[in-house]
Amino acid sequence: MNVDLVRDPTFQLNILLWMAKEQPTEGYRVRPVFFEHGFKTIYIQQPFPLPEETSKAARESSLSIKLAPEPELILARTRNGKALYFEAKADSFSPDSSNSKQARGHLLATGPAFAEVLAPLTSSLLCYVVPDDKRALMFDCLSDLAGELSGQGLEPGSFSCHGLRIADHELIYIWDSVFKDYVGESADSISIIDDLESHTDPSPLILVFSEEDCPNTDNRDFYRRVILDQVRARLLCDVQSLPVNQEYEITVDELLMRTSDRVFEFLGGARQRSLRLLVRENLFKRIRDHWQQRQRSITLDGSTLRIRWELADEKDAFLNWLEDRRIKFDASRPEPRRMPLLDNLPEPTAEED
Amino acid sequence: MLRLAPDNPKDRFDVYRFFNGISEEGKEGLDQRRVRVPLVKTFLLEHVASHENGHPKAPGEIFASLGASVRLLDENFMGLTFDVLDPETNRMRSITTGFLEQYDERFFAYYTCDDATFAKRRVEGWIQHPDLDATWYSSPLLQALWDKDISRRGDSCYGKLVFRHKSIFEMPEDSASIDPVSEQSNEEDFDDESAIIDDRFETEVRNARFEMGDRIGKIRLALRGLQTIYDPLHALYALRLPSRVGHGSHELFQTGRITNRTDSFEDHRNTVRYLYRIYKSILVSTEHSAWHQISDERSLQTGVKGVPLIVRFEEPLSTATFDRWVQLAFQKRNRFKLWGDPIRLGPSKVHVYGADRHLWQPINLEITAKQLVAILPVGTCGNTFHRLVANIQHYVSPKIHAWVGSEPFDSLVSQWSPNLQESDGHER
Repeated sequence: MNVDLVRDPTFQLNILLWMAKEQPTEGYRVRPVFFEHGFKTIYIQQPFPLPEETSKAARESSLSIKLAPEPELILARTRNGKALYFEAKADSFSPDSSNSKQARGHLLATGPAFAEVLAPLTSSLLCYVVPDDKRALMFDCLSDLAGELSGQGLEPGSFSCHGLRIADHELIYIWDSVFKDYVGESADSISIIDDLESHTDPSPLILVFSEEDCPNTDNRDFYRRVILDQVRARLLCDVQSLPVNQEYEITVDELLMRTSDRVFEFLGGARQRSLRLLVRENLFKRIRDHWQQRQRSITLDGSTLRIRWELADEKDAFLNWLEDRRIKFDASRPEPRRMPLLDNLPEPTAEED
Repeated sequence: MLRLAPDNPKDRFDVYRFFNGISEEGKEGLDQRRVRVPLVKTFLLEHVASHENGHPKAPGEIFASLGASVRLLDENFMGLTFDVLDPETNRMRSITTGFLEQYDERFFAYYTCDDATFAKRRVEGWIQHPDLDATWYSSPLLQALWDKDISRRGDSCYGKLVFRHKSIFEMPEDSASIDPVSEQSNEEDFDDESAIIDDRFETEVRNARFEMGDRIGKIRLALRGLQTIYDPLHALYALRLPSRVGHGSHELFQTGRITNRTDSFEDHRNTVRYLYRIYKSILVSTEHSAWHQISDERSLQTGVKGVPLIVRFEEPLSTATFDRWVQLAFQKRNRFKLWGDPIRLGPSKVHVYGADRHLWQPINLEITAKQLVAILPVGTCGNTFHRLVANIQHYVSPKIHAWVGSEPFDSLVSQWSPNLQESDGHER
């Protein structure tokens, strides 16, 4: 069992999403603790803009504060207006760390600012998720940061620290008394996956769009493979019904939006750029490179892929190729390079690169 | 060559009268314990491809693209004529092979008195087309039909339940080789009407073909007890529905084929429409269960796909069987009609971020030796769930525990209205 997984923010966020997903009481994939407590997902990885007054006060303070912090996940229980605001971290950090800038923003977001921005929700609890052995240190850090904010007349919210731990064949989720009081939970921890097997990655289906490396050294490209497979499947589904002599035109962004059910447009800029690069370099270019001498009507112009068939045989040949599981699309991390700002601009030339 | 349609029918009632004549002759033959003419049968089809974008096609357009000449007899009833090979003259002839009734935008019934083998082959060809699929009366739905309806139609009536399970992916633990073509050959003898060939090599895998034909009261008394001791008796494949109004019965098969064993076509059509309303109701509630929680979230762009279908196998698969299933289930010709490239996450665990090859809609799957988890994007067609469950019980694990979200699949397929009315707004 790779215990490093509990330090992986993608794994952590994915587990949190599964914990909020409707599943049976018996036979669940991941124990849906948050769903059982009446919470459901309202935002994933979207910036939380602090209200005007809070931003102004934060700017005027002597502290480094991110004014639009980006939580991993916000869950809401609409029946009593409560929300859970999650941040996942590989490790605890100290108040001197660069991570504290965003942490201060999270603390302010979950104070009175929360109800101002996300009414009719009335309150929120900041939950930091870390490997269990870092929970106490994380709590100390947040206490210090909250003290700093209060000292400057700002209003931080309450916070809670949660841990993930693999023990025997179980993945355990641990919380603190603040969380227990807030949601009405009596247990101190809960087994959320109880049939872990040796030499098996415990990840449930990946619901997160991440191009990061997976901590599993045997499967470093896993998250990128998941993205590429989903994009390839979406493309394959789209072009199945494309008639001969009709053009299919799609940009990398449009395809990522369709694949992610529009999550892509709300992701942070850096994440968007990385995903865009991955799909263009590892999928679109591979398609172009393979077909440019075979079918002239399959073109890549900047980030825009165009497909047009003049004969049914051409369609069959393309679909057979794209469906062929032996055709592998490289899932390694592409070299960072300049991308056109707009989808319809031509690709930079080699000299420009 | 068999006569499959009346000459120049003026309206649908000419067709009804023709099928009534066939039905009477067929029933007479059955009463004399011989089949004089092929029985009237109906294939209940679902128009699926346009479900996601909400632009359904007219049946005339779909069947014209399948090579049919379509002749409308009224707004929702049409004859389908195909060029077929006349075995007597060995020449192609245009033959009206059957009639199609559009029940609503999503469901069509194809009525025919063609020979069962030819008719099935024809319909199997049609449902290769991404616009059409069979209706999938999975084992839990057939069981619910038995429990809620058929078992209460009178203890003295004759009923019949047919169970089918063949572990086509089963491999002995010590077997190292996997023959990629043998899935198809294993399935060839699986069809309910195929002959058993004594001299053929037979792989030693779990293979249950079982029929219970008896008075309904007797079956009801015995069934649950038998099911507790023999798992394949959960893999219900076909049911006989005794007629409520006359003599004879209707036989419902898992892929939505209904054979008329009464002497009345109208009685048969009534039964088909009853089964259609049940299936439609179940499909709507499946889609509601899968995605109702998502509707609010969708407006917030969380990208949270639908709730999962979780299918737990009563007995874990061996590693060899798991490997074989994973290798074969995503090949081009496979029963599960899935496309994808499994990502290996352990000795008996894969993730597949692929597509339903039949409907060409994305599907994400986690398959382990103990269970399957499937997530479909919001708004896609829910019949993939029913096809998956039906095929898993048929070919992988005859006894399962399944849920859509938090709702048990058994419960989901039992919740059709006891007073199904024809008042649905879209129904014709």
